[in-house]
Amino acid sequence: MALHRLWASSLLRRRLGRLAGAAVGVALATALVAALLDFIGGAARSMTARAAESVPVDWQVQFAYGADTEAAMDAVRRATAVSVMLPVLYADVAGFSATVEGTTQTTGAGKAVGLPADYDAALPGQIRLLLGSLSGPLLAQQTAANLHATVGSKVTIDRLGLNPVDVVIAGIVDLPNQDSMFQAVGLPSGAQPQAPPDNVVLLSAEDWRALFDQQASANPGSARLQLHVRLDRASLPSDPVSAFADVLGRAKNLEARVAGSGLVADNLAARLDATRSDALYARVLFLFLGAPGVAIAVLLTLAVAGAGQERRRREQALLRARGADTALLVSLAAVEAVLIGLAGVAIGLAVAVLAARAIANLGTLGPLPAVLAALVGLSLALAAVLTPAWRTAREQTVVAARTVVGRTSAPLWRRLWLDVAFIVAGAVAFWYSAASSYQVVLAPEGVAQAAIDYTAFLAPVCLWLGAGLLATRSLGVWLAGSKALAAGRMGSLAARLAPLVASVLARRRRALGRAVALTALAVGFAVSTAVFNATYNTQSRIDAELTNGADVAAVGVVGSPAGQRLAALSRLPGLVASEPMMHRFAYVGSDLQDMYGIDPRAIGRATNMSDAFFGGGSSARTLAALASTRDGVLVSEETVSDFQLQPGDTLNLRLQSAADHQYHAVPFRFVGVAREFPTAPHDSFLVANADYIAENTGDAAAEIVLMRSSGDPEPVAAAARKVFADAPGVRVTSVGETQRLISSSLTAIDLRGLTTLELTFAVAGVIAAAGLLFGLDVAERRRGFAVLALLGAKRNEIAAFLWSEALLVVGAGLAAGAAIGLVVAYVLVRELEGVFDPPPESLSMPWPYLATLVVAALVSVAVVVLIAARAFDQRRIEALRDS
Amino acid sequence: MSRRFQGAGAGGVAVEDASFEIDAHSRIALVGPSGSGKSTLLHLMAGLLDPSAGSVSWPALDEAGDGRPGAIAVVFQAPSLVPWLDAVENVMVPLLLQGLDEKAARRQAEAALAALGLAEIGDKLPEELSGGEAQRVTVARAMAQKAKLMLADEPTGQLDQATAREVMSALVHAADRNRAALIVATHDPAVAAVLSVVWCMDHGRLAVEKRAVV
Repeated sequence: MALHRLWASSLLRRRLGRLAGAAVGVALATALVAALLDFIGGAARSMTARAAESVPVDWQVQFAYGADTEAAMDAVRRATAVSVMLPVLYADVAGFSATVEGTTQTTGAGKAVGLPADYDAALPGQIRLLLGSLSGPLLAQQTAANLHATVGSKVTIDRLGLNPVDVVIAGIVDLPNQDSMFQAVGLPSGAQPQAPPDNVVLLSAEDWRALFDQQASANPGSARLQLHVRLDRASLPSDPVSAFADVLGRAKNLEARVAGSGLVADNLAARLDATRSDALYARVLFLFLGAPGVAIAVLLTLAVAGAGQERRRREQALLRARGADTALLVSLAAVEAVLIGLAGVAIGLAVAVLAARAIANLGTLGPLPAVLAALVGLSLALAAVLTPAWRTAREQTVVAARTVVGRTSAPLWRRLWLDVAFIVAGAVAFWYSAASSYQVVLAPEGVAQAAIDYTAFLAPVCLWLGAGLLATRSLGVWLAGSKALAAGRMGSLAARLAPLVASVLARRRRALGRAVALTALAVGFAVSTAVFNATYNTQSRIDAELTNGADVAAVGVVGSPAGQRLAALSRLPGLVASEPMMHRFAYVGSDLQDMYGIDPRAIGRATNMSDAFFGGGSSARTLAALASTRDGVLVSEETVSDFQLQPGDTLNLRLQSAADHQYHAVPFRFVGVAREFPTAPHDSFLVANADYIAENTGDAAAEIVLMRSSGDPEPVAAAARKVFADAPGVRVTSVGETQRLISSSLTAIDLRGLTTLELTFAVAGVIAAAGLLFGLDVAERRRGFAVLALLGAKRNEIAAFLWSEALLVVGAGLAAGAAIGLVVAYVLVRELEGVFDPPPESLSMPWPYLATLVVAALVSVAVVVLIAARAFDQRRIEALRDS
Repeated sequence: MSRRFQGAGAGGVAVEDASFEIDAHSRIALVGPSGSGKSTLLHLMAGLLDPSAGSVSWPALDEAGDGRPGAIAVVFQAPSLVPWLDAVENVMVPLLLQGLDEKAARRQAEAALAALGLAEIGDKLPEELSGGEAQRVTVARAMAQKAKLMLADEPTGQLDQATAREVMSALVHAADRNRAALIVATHDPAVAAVLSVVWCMDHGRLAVEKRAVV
């Protein structure tokens, strides 16, 4: 023990630099593992909650009208823990009518809904007030449009089998979840979902009972009771995949309890079902993007911690020559390993705490990730120091152990051509993925089981490893075979010592090859992650632009179209262009579709018209066709298929007339296909000339105004909101707001946090691979440089000697790493296509980040060269004694 | 001149008030017990250390600076070879630093090695050489650079007697060939006996210069 204490204190006094360098390597791995585990754990814990955020009503449990409400609620409570449960009444009505400005509008059949008083407060998100107030009868936006009614209008409800009744409208509302609110509960699985009613009035429960109790009693089938339930989500598994199965099970349990008298519309399960794919992709991202980062950290740590291996071997040889046995040698090595491990883990955990707060916004580091990361760090330190020490003690002769440079045989991977094997394996794995259309995540709709195709991970990891090894081989071949070239390229820096540089580089090609490989792998990891992240952000921006319509969009309602204030908007500072756009509804057969009226020649001024939006691949050609055909219309591919349309075919669409508010047929001519359009839904939609629509409907109002800003859209959006301050029905949104909304998906949030952590680590990894490893290697060779200084080499000549190695490692590492990174990024983007919306057509390049990598690598080696050259010159006598 | 080491007080004086003159062709043994200041004095002479007081100059060497490269060669106790250069390349280093081109430097290096019977080890790395071979390569380096002042600090300290004799023979041969002054710090009487003058160091003081009977 005394010897071990002496060994430890001597290491701390005499080899502090070596220990510190190795500890930094361990700290790097510990910090990354701790931060990643903490982030992944935090993300996993909140996944179900985040997935379910957009579901205001988890279950709609439907009973026949007249069912015992208390018994029904009791049955639900016994089946599952609930946080909210409210009874909602539905009644069918024959229609609505209203007389506005002397004309009477009448709608078709609709629904009357009775809501408890606290419905909006308890289940926010179901009702969005557009005009008026919530205290009284409310009319859905579409119904108000159909009746041309507004706040204060008298609307007549045509009850079934009873006299009509009048209500005075207190507010106009939007029902964001009307699809689920009016879904037909109890349909067999696989049945076509029913479209929500076009005509809806919302009443208080008291008013509803007063108006419809009699109808329900006379015609029970015309009324229903639903319990709108929000489950206690804290009781759900944190993983959406498990939560989906859990929620399904609870719903079936309830249906069994009520023995057929109640049916459950499981909105939460449907949402979890839809996001299982998202959740699985988030898991896949951790694997595809997180695992390489950990692998790099492990490789770098082993390399850095093992940087003093030559010296340790010589020390071991001296001890063996003086009688030390294997056990003693290994135990002394363990002393150094433990010192490195403890210091590295302490620094690493401290860095992880800062990273968790600053980067991932997670708060404090959890105990489990800290413990696991500490174990990883200690294990790496032991592996890096102890394993070679044990192997040397058991296998090598004393003489061999004292060898510094040595002439060794080619490593096993080179003899087995593993580099080529890995690349071929990666290419095959990628081809296999492509053959299955890159279906990495398999989550069939409605089926509890889900799966990840982990074999897809083989492609990027094999390509990454293989390319790194190939870079090493290539460098070795070049150095061994092209001395003149190497001397000419690199030696010129070393001035008088130039003739020796090529020999040294060739002789050290194995060590240099290792350094280049590590640098290339670190750079490759950084580049692939950064390019993947940039491509994702670009697609997210494109999605936001499509959803929002333009940099800034003002969306109005019937009676309050945004286009009325076009002149005021046009004068806003920072605005480049503004264009009005109609948003109407038209019947295509019996299908009600959104219809957009535009000026095809001008719309491109205010928003981007991508070629991908239109069939035929050319926005210019398609819009020109629409502009030259006054009655032209662009339709969806589904509509083309449904109606077997050919270009030039006439399509009769029913549009609402402003004169009588009735829908009348208007002939259009099919001129092209629209796949995407600013603000348009994913469903089928129509695009036509605004002039023609105005002429045939008598209404030239533009409900939407799209705006392009010269710079940051936020100030323009803020100014536009002021323009509409007295028009509460108009909503102004910027593309940034929409992007933030889109970026709140599971995948987006987890990708953002993960890539921020990894991109930060990647820069540190490149500095470690290029600078730290180089520095430790130079430190181990300081005696040789001291000799050069003693022989008269000037500081700048020693620096130039070092520069020749440094630039070789950095230059080759950056070049190879960039190539590796781009290839792996392409593979990742193709295999993880499901993450992108819309899928990218090309990779996006994050030039500032890539520049940062280059600068970080160059600066790190520059610091090493400058410090080393000065130190070797000043401390040459001490270094010479240090044999 | 004197040389003190920082923070050591009176006990930190390595060399105190040493004054001397050295002629060309001198063959000097610098003797004294371990810690007497022999190495420090040699390092001061070589310009590897700066004196705390006084100065060192070598007018005959016509060097304004520290005498390196070229005119002054130092041979240390442990062979001071660059581990990643082979024997020829190690000998070439001072020649290249003197401004010779590669071919000329290699030619002179090989000649120096051959002169000391080391022609066959030119392509070997330092750890492939025995201790004696490595020291002789160091001497060959000193010889190749045509040093006029050769300083050797315990050059045979790590060698057995037979090898020590080989190394000393090589040193003297190299000094004769270069017509250089040779100063060897040693505590080995057998080594001192080879040289014609003996200086004694004791506790940092250069004691009475003794002229050995030749």
